[in-house]
Amino acid sequence: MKKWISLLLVALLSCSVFSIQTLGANVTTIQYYDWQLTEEPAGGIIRQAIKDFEAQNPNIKVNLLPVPTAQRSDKLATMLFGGQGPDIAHVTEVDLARLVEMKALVGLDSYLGHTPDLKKQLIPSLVNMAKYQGKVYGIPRFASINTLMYNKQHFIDAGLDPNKPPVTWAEFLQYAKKLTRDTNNDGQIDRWGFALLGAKTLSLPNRYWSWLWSTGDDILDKSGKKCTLDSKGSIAAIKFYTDLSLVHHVTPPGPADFDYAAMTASFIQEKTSMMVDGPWILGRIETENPAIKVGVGAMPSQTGKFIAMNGGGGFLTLTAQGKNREASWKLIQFLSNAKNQWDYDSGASALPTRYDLVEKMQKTGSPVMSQFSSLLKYVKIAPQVPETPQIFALFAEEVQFVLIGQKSADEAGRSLAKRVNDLLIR
Amino acid sequence: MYKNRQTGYLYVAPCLLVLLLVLGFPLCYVIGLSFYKINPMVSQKFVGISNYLYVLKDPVFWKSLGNTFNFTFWSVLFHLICGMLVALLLNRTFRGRTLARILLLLPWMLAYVVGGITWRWCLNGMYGIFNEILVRMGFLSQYIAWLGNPATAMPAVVIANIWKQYPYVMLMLLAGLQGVSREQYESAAIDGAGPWRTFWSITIPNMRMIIMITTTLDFIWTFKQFDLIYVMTGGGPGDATEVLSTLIYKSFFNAFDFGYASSSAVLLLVIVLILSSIYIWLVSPRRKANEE
Repeated sequence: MKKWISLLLVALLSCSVFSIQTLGANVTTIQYYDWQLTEEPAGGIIRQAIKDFEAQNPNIKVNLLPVPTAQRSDKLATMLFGGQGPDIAHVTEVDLARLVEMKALVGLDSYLGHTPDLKKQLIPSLVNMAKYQGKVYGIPRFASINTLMYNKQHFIDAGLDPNKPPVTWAEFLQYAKKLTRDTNNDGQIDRWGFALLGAKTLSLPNRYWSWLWSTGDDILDKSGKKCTLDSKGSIAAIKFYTDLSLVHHVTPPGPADFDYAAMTASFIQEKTSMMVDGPWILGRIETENPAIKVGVGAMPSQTGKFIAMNGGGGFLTLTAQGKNREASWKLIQFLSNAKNQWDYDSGASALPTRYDLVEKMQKTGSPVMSQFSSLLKYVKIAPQVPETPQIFALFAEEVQFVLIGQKSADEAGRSLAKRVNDLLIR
Repeated sequence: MYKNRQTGYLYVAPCLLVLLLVLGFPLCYVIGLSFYKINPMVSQKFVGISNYLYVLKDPVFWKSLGNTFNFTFWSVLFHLICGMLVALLLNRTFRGRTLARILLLLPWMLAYVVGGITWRWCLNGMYGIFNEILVRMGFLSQYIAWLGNPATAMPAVVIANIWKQYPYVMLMLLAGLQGVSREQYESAAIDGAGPWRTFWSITIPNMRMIIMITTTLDFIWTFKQFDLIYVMTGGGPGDATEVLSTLIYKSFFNAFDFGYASSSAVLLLVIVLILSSIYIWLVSPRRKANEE
């Protein structure tokens, strides 16, 4: 009897091991790399969507790879160099060209060709941002725009019309001066007109390019092979931007150490009245200081002639090192469908990437989000060349030299053009 | 004798193998990279020593090297001064000495990144507690962005590094102090020597070797410091706190300029090797024997 029971147990055990192995063999694991997994509320929304995806696709398991925003490019690059690239990577337009040049991304035209429902809904101008040398490499996850945001109550307190943001540089300076105040009458300025971001991070150029473009000048010439940051307009823009701190003192002290965290904190704590940022900050403002009534306006232009706002977006891409392309594409489709994309857009204050959701946002979204949406037509992106991230870093460094008084705007512009041109040649 | 030596080699062989794998391979790889122009994941071309020539002609490299020596010199000097003062204090008998030892070691136990973030917020130009204290005490009329000004950024990161790393020096010196015989101090006291005279004539000569070794090791470690500076200033403002390790990191991971990064890293390695040779010479038994 004992012998039979032992045999039965062994047989059952073998069967269960076999079935576990069989099940395991059928499960496909995909690696999903996204810096937004570390940000709330976006992270929670993405996690929930992925849980739903796994529930609907029990044979696919998604391994989440969160990364802090500041390290999103470095870590992805390191993984790719080590041959450990994820299946799906969420990247921005800044990194796209370089990743394509590294042959790290897979063209998505054929995938889109097989999913006409998704293709016809995606806004073409956003898809174009993920195009390099005629091929599409990413599915737009969100559209971004860096534009003027201001505290409406501060405008009223300073005797300014809260529905009329400044249109020209001169007007902007005039507003900033009026908004810079000593609110508790202790003889010290404790609120500044403009939260000028000057720390040595990529956030600086992202928030600066609109000032340059508002002069009609650009970063590179049309060939993309010569830097034009020493142009008259560019030097005027660097001078205007840095003079806000150095000459007019309408920004918090120590701009060279003023990073994105300090900029947003100062605005939320009402220590500054205007800043250049995007809709993603609205959720945090709502949570941390719901009393702020946020106004949104186009970026002021040098003469009122050129209007351009730096923007871009996040794109879901398939990497060349990914081993499970079909399952990965399935997940991208799932995250980009109307329901999940809407959950993400509305929950994380993201600008929509699909036509149907633009309509929905205009009907049901907040007025501030609608204002952001209406400015999308002015969005311009930095030139997409493989050297883009390095150009951004060099720019941040040269502007810092001006902010700390080691170079004039003119010297910084010329030095910048030389360094970028050396980089493009090298 | 020969057989004994062979057995000895056999014992250290696994350790050597691991060292070769974890140290030797990356080292050779970086040296190899420094002779190539690399287009990541696409192509690489042998360019001889041109990466080194480019680095040596680059003013950014020289500025970073200067900053590295500046940062290291002041940090090590004050590690030694603070470490010695606290070690002398802890070498005395008083109530709560054990608690004081634990508390004074705390900065050393923290991760550099945590220490860096703490200092970054303490020195913040708008919310920093240091500004608030100094304004309330009347030393400042308004807040200063300590890390946003090139004149104060380097001293600020040096101070943070002193706070973070002096406990190591203190610990080493304390161990040395406890090895100095009591009889020498008693004889000096009988001869009427005061504390100052005792310190210079008994403590320092007895501690000379341990001070030299600790300082050399500290110099090597501080020379390679990365985390604290990267977290506190990112090398800024401008290039005021850009040291070799932050420059190498940025060249490698931000700019993907592998040639520049690896040749700078090899040059950093050469400098550290020279410093290490001094350390090895200091602790060599032959030198000690000659001294005796």
